[in-house]
Amino acid sequence: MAKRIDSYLPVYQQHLREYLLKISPNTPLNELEELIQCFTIEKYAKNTILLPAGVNNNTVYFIGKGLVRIFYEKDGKEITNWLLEENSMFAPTYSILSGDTNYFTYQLLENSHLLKIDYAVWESYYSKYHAIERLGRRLISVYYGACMRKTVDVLFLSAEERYQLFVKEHQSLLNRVPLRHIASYLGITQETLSRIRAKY
Amino acid sequence: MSKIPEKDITLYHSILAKELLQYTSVPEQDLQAFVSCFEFHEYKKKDIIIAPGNTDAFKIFFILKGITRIYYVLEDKEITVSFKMENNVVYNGFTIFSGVPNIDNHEALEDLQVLAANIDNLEPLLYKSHPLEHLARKIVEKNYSSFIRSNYNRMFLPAEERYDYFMREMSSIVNRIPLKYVASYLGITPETLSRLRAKH
Repeated sequence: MAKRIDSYLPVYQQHLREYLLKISPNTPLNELEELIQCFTIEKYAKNTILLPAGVNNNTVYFIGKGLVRIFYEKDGKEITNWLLEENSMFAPTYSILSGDTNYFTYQLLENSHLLKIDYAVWESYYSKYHAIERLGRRLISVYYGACMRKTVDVLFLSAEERYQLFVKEHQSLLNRVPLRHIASYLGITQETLSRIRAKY
Repeated sequence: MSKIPEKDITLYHSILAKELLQYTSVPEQDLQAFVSCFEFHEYKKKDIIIAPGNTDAFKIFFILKGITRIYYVLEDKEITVSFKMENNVVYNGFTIFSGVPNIDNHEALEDLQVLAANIDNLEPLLYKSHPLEHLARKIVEKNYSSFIRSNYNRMFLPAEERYDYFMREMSSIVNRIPLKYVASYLGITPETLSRLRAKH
């Protein structure tokens, strides 16, 4: 018989605790705990569209188990922007902050267990606790940094260098993600990806 | 660093304080401590105030007078990314947020007067004051949103719409920017830009 989803909650909460403490190490544990207790757990089937483009659900997610693909559509093609695995946090952040339409689609590539919290609840902890506001600032800085870093990589690294970097940082994704999504994420064609992979 | 009269630096600090108060209210004492970290500097037209690499990696600038152009060099070509003007904040986001060496040049398009501070001096104040931390979070969120927005515009809007958007956002300074830089920013040739301008 399959385990009940709730039985996974404590271990994912522990991972969330570790993730947030890594972002902001000096967060008081009792304050962090209060925030973590606000997350609920839910399971999703492979290929579920968690959030389609054009919709904003003001929810912050943490991946307990599974794989998320974040993509947008341009000229009729799907461009994969991010591939996230266990112990990653994500949200339709731009849409939440600006009020503009969300133009990304969030899709689950595997059966997944996600922790989630309403952004309004998450944000209420910023005013409640100074350390949580600091955590929030650091978290958005990390997102911002990741976006900037990706821009730099696409501009200045060759396709092969970007592939090598991907292998170095996301080894486990190679076996879990269809190659066409990896190619799209790296900004190259599947043919180019195959050529590069043939060398290794 | 230029030596300027006490009353001038007080005036400049109050200009910065007024700009910061647009994000959120901050107690007078905390705000004063924050703006006092900023020193007055002057630069000449064509000076590079933030250079590629890690030079001045942790400086943050507030423009009192003048305009800057942010560009990077790709295969010997200058690609203009954005323009900053009076009351804008300028910093090296690459290193501050993602730890990678800066790729951008921040060039003075006119003689500049700025206030500059070191991030390392500002951080301790954020620890001591919740309102200042709130201010910092709001500023980072706004900059993150602008970054995502300008990426979106560059990807999805046709040149003519981007031109309209640019003319609205930069209406106060567009006469002070050489057209070849505007063309580069819009990702079009100077000829195409002339054609667009003739239509309006």
